[in-house]
Formats: sequence, C-alpha cells, structure tokens
Amino acid sequence: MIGKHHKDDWVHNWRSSVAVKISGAVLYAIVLIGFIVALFVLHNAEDQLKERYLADADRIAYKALLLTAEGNSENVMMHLNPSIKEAGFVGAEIICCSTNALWGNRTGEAIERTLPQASTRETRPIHLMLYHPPVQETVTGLRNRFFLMTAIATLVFGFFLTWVILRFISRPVQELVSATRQAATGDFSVRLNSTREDELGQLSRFFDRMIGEIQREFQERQQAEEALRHTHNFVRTTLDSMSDGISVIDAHNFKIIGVNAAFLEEYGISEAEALGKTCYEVTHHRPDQCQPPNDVCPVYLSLQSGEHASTEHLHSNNDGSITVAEISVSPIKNEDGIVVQLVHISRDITKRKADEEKMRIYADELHEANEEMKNFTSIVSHDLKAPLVSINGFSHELADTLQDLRELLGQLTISDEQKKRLDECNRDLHESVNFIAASVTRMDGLINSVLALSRAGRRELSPELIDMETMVQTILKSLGHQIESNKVCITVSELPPVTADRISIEQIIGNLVDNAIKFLDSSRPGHIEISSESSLFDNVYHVKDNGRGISEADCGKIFDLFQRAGIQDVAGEGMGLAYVKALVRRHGGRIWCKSIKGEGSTFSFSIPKEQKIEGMRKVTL
Amino acid sequence: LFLGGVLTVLLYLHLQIGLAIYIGWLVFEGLTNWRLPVLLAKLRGQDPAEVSCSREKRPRINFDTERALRFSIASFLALSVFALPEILWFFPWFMAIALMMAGITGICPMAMLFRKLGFK
Repeated sequence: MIGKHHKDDWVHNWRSSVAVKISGAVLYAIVLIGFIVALFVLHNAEDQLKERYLADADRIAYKALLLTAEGNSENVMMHLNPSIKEAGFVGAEIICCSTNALWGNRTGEAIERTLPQASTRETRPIHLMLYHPPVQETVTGLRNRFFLMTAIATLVFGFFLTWVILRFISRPVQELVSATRQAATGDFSVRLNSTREDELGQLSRFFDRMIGEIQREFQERQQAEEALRHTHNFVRTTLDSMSDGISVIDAHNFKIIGVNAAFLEEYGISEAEALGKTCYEVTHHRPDQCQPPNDVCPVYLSLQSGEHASTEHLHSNNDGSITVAEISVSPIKNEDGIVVQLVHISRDITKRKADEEKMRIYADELHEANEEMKNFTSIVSHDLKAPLVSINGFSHELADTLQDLRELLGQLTISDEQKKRLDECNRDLHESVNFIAASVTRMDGLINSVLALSRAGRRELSPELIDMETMVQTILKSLGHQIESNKVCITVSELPPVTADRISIEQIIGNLVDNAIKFLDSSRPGHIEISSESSLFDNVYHVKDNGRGISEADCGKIFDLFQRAGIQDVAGEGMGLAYVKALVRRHGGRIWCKSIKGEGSTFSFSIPKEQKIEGMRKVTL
Repeated sequence: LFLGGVLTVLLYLHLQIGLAIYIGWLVFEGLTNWRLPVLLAKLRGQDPAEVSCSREKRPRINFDTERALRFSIASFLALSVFALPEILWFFPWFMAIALMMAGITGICPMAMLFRKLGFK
C-alpha cells in the first residue's frame, strides 16, 4: 500500500488539484447563473418595495376608515397596530380633529393617506401618516444579505463539491499517481489493493497487475543483468589475466573493437588509443594493410578462409623496434555464416625465437661434438684393439719362448745357487707374462664394452608392443643356471605391456636381474621381486632385491661409465648400468635406484606409454 | 482571496469611503506593482518572480497580468459603485465573490483573459 504522505500530496499544491479546478468551474457557473437570476429578480426591488408599502398603506388606511366609521376612532391606533407592524412600518400617526395618535417614531420615509370623516359632527378629514425605512437602504441591505448568503452558500457548496470530487475521483487518481511515482523510482512493491467496483477500482486492479508484471520482469532483468555482469566480469578478468594480447577486430574495416590488458601492455597504448584504430595501425604503425603473399597476414587468411589461422608475424613497436609475434586468429561468424569479427591473439615470441636460435646453435654444436665423440670412440676403440692384439699375441709368444727357454736352461749344468736364481727369474717372468695377458684381456673387455655401448647408442630402435610378463619369463629362463646355483626366489607381479624396442628392454631387464643375482647377500636367501606400476603417461618397472645394498653416496654414481660400488668381488667393468641408462633414455624414460646398504636395492625405470618412433632419442656416449 | 475578502466586507458594510480607498489601493498596486505578495516576498528575501503569476514565455504586451487585473477591478468597481450604481448594482458583489473564488481555486477568468490577450 502507498504511504499516507502520498495521499495528501494534493494539499501542498491544492490549486493544481483537478477537484479544485472542477469545483471552481462549477462554482463560477453557479455564481454566474445566480447573479443572472438575482439580476432579474432584484433589479426592480425598490419599486416592488415601494408598491408594497403603498399597498399596505392603502389597506391600513381603509381599515382605519372602517374603524372610525364604526365609532372606534379613539382606539383606531390600537386596532391598527398589528397590521402596521406586519407591513414593516416603523411608525404611524393618526391626526383626527383634536386627537393625534402616534405609534413608533417618525423616522424614514412617510406615506400619507387622507381619510374622509365618517362622523357627521366632524367634517375635517383624518390624516394617516405611515413611516417605513428608506427603500434604498432596505433594498441595499436585502441585496447585501442575499449576496453574502450566496457567497457563503457557494463556498460551502464548493467545499462540499471539492470534497466529493476528492473523495471519489481525485484521491484514487492521486493514489494512482503516487503509486506510479513510487514505481518510477524503482519500488515495485507498491500496490493499491482497491476494493472499489467502479472504473477507478478496475484501473487500480489493472495497475496492480501491471506493476506485478513489471516487478517480475524487472527482477528477471536484474537477475539477467547480474548474471551478465558476472559473466562480463569473469570474461574480462579472464581475458585480462591472460598473458597473450587479445583483440577483437571488425571484419569490415579491420578496426579494433575490444582489447585485453596484455594487448595494451604489449603495444604500450591505452584502451582509448587502441579502440577505433585499425589492427595494422596499432601493430605495425603503418597506414596500409599487410600485403600477402610477401607479408602473410593471419587476419587476412582467416577472413579469406573463414577458418582459424595461425602464423608468425613481425610487428613494429612505438620505438621502431621489431618484435616477432605468434598470431592466432579465429573468425566470429553471424547467423548467416559470414565473418563479422575476428579474435586476434598475439604472443610476443621475440625472446623465445632468440632462445630457439641459441638452442639451435647449441644443438648443432652438440651434434657436431657428438659426431666427433662417436668417431673418436670408434676410432680409439678400433685403434686400441690393434696394438692390444699385438700385445696379446706377443705376450703369448713370450710365454711360449719363456717355456722353451726354461726347458733349455733345465738342460744346463749350473750351480744350485745359479739354479735358484734362475728359478726366481723364471717365476718373475712367468708372473709378468700372466699379468700382461690378464691386463690385455681386461683391456680388451673394456674396449669391447665401449664399442658395444657406442653401437647401442647408434642402433635404430624398433618399437613394438611387448608382453612384458612373457619377456621377463624368457629372461629368467635364460638366467636359470645362475638362479638355481644361487638359490634365488624370484617373484614376478602383473606387468603391463609396453611399446618399446624389444632388444633394448630385454637388455635392460636382463642387466638389472643379472646384477641383482650377482650382488646378493650370501648370508641370507636371495629374493628378487619384479613389479610395476602404471601412471597416466608411463609404466614404471621395479627390480627389487634383498642383496648387499648400495650406500646413498654411490647410488648416484653407479649409472656412470666404469663406476662400481661396494666390494669388487664380482667380475665386471662397470658398464652394465651405464648401458641400461643409455637404453632407457633412448626410450624417453628415466632410471633411478633406491637402496639401503645391507638391506637391498630397488632399481626402477620408466617407459613412456606413447612411443614416437621417429622421435626416439639417439643417445650417444 | 484577500482582495475578495476585503471587498466583501466593504460591500456588506456599505462603506463607500472604504470602497474608494480600496479602489485607490488597487490603482496604486497597478501603477507601482508594489503588490502585497511581491512586498512580502521581498521582505522574506525571496525572488519576486517566484510569486508572479506570469506563465507566458513570450508575452505580446509587456505588462503584468496582475497589474492589469488590478486596473480592471478598480475601473469596474468605480464604474459600478460610483458611476452607475443603479444599473450595475450587482457587479461589485460579483467581483468580490469572483475574487474570493479565484483566490481559493486559482482560477481567475479575468486573468486568463488577460493572458490570452498577451499580457505577461
């Protein structure tokens, strides 16, 4: 419901009220008509009054005549008194012979009547003087009272009429006006709740219904606006949070119609400066469009094809410097499929391009160094093997010669002292030759290992889907003799298949299991567990043993070339794990070790699930 | 309303001298524009234009309607009270009632007529 102050608004400017205006018009009409009537009625009031006084005077005179004829001349005045009063005379006087009777006073205007003497004794006439108020004053007073009463009656009627109009017309209309004003300020809770059955009641109910509809639509619009504002803020915040410069370009004239903060920062301009300018004015600082095919414009490409276009583009800065930008343009189409706007995403890749160039140079240098290293390894290994073969051959020749020499010396007759001395020399020579042979054998092994590692780094990998469980069983079968002789218990868990080079995986697992068997602790029964776990991107395989274990300091070294840890009571060159590491890396995986000395070790390696055949890394040692 | 009330009292009491003064007062106001509302507004420190009845933006006659109204009332009163009282005996009362009604309702046919004629 509307407030009381709204209902009484008309009081503050009541002259503007329709009720007052209607009442005024009506009253003017009434007054006018009243005055016209009064004009007709009162215009000859003086004459009428005069005639009435005269007529009354004649009537009283006649009555006096009758009284005197009846002989009541002495009491004439007493008998005439009521009639005189009734006629409005203020005084009367009868002059008859010697008698003179006066009633009232002699003020005002006088009317004289002469009556014949009815008595035979008296011949003189009787004079009757009747005094009445001045006609002019009487009429004026009458008119004044009439008009005053008319004025008062008009005012009273006017107030009544105004009240009626206010009560039944103006106030409901005023309530409607107040409610409309309240609604216009946004307060749609206002309701008239009229119970009237007339037209204004219907209007009020229609108003209530209309306001209800407006309120509902307003609330829906507010909610929609709020959602829109939220979405706008979200989009704006998201766009401004992006590091890529984004602008929206009008497809008709290439003018920028929207930008994000990164775009403004990238080109060092304000939003007001950017909006309305063409994309080439802002990004190239030139008045002309890019001219394909020499200057490939992604905006032009996207506009022509109606599809997404992406390219690298050179942009000019305010200071004249050139930046390399990675541009991605996506078209925005209307309902008819016509491109109307383009979303232009630019990323400054100048630094990245410079870094890429540096990396390319480094990669070339590295590649060159690798090639040199490969050749060096191959050449050195080959060249070292040749003298080693000679040393090996000549050491055997020396051993044979020494044997012949020992037989010849045995035929000679020498003293015991000389014989003893000869035996010592013979033994020293034999030991030296054996030492040379052992060293040659060891060096040959090392060179072979280096050559094998070098070949492994260059060998082409052939990825295929491998059933790991079957492969592990095959490997364990090949190591059956060692497993049985060392009484090792091997547990194999469920292993997921993997796409990789079969030979490499065989060598990796074979090496790790072989190492686990070799380095078991003889004081307790050996136990080896092969297990795996799978993540989103790769499979990880574990080879866990309860062997000697490796100290924490050695864990990082054992994958390096010729590095061995712990007691050196097992033959080997320290090449196995380096070889394994190289193979794992070529598959894009990694290998690591967790170990506690005296308790055992766990070697783990990962192989990516998705193997790119072309992308397999060539690791060269 | 004030003018109408005073005129009503004077007419009812039939004060000819008072009516003469009343007519003189109206003529004075019409000549000087020192009307009571204007003087009161000045005393209150208000802008006299705020109490002006002028609504005509471009008046054809550069003379206030209120002043013309006073001249006309004075003329009609003088004519009806002193010159032709026998014929126009009703007119002073008509003017008195009309003035009171104009004061109450804000509708003054005479003022409307003057504005129509081009007074400001």
